[in-house]
Amino acid sequence: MSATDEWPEDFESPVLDMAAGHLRERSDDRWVEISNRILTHAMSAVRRSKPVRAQAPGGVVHISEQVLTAHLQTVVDGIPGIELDRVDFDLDGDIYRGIELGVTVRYNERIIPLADAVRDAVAIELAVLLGPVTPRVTVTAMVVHVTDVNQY
Amino acid sequence: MSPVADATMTNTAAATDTDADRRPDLGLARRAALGDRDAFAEIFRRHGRSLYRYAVRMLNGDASEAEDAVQDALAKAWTNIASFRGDAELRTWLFRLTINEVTNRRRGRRPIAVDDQLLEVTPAQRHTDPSQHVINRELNAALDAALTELPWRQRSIWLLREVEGLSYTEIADSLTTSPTVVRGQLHRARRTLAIRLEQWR
Repeated sequence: MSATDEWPEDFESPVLDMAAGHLRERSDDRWVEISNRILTHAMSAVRRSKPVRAQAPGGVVHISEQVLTAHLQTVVDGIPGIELDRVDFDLDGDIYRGIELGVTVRYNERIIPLADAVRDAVAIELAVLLGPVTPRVTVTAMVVHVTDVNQY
Repeated sequence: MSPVADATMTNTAAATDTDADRRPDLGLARRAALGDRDAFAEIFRRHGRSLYRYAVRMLNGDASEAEDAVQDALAKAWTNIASFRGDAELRTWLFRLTINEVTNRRRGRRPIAVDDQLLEVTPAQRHTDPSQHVINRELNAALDAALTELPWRQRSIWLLREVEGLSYTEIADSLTTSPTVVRGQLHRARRTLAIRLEQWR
């Protein structure tokens, strides 16, 4: 039969369907035993992260994007009604040029005040973390996702 | 203070609750990309068992190899999840990673040639007082045995479609082929497996 022929959709085999259903429902013997091990090992994998230049009292230091992102997540998640879901640093080598944020806002929340609060909080936090760097830290852009609480 | 330079708004039908259990996959993926380990753990809770179930059947019941394959696939998911933008379903993306790992391990194995004209019906055990539990267990074993004799691609497609519930398009994307090929391979797989399990009808 060629690939262009119509394949019958109704090829019936109740036994096969039943066996497939059993396979979906049954637990593999070792799953409970190994699942924690799999997850732990998987998350021990190292993510690449670019270094970002910062100015400390003692001189130039570097902070990874991951560390900066973790700090920003804590700051933004502390603002009610909004949540951070993406951070893209704009770097020129290791020099901070800007940042684009993705945030999720609950439906019916006032977006502009929340976005302003996020922008200000992120700018302050980055200034603390990166120190008196040049050019001055700014938040370049923000993408806002609006979610609908009534869907769930 | 200057306004935000650019704000692009999109509407998405998704849960807003910070409880990871209620968040849709795309939201979890975004959070995991930020480094949120709870979000990735929830992704694993939702999809890990399916990935393992698939890997075990594709690796002829070798639980240890399947564990390694899924572990490596999930490690790649953890390190690269920032590249997942929601163009496909998250589970499709995870299955693609798992399929790659399973395929790499398969390359070290000797292929089993199958002529589907010569397949025999798997004999069912005769029981004087069979309990349904025993019958089901034997049917399960017969299916597992029959799957090991399917050609690799038919086996993969049957599992992805009939057990994991992926669409033809999702399967085609995962296997880098077309939905038409998927349907043809699925039909062959169903026919072969049905013959093998005929005795249980």
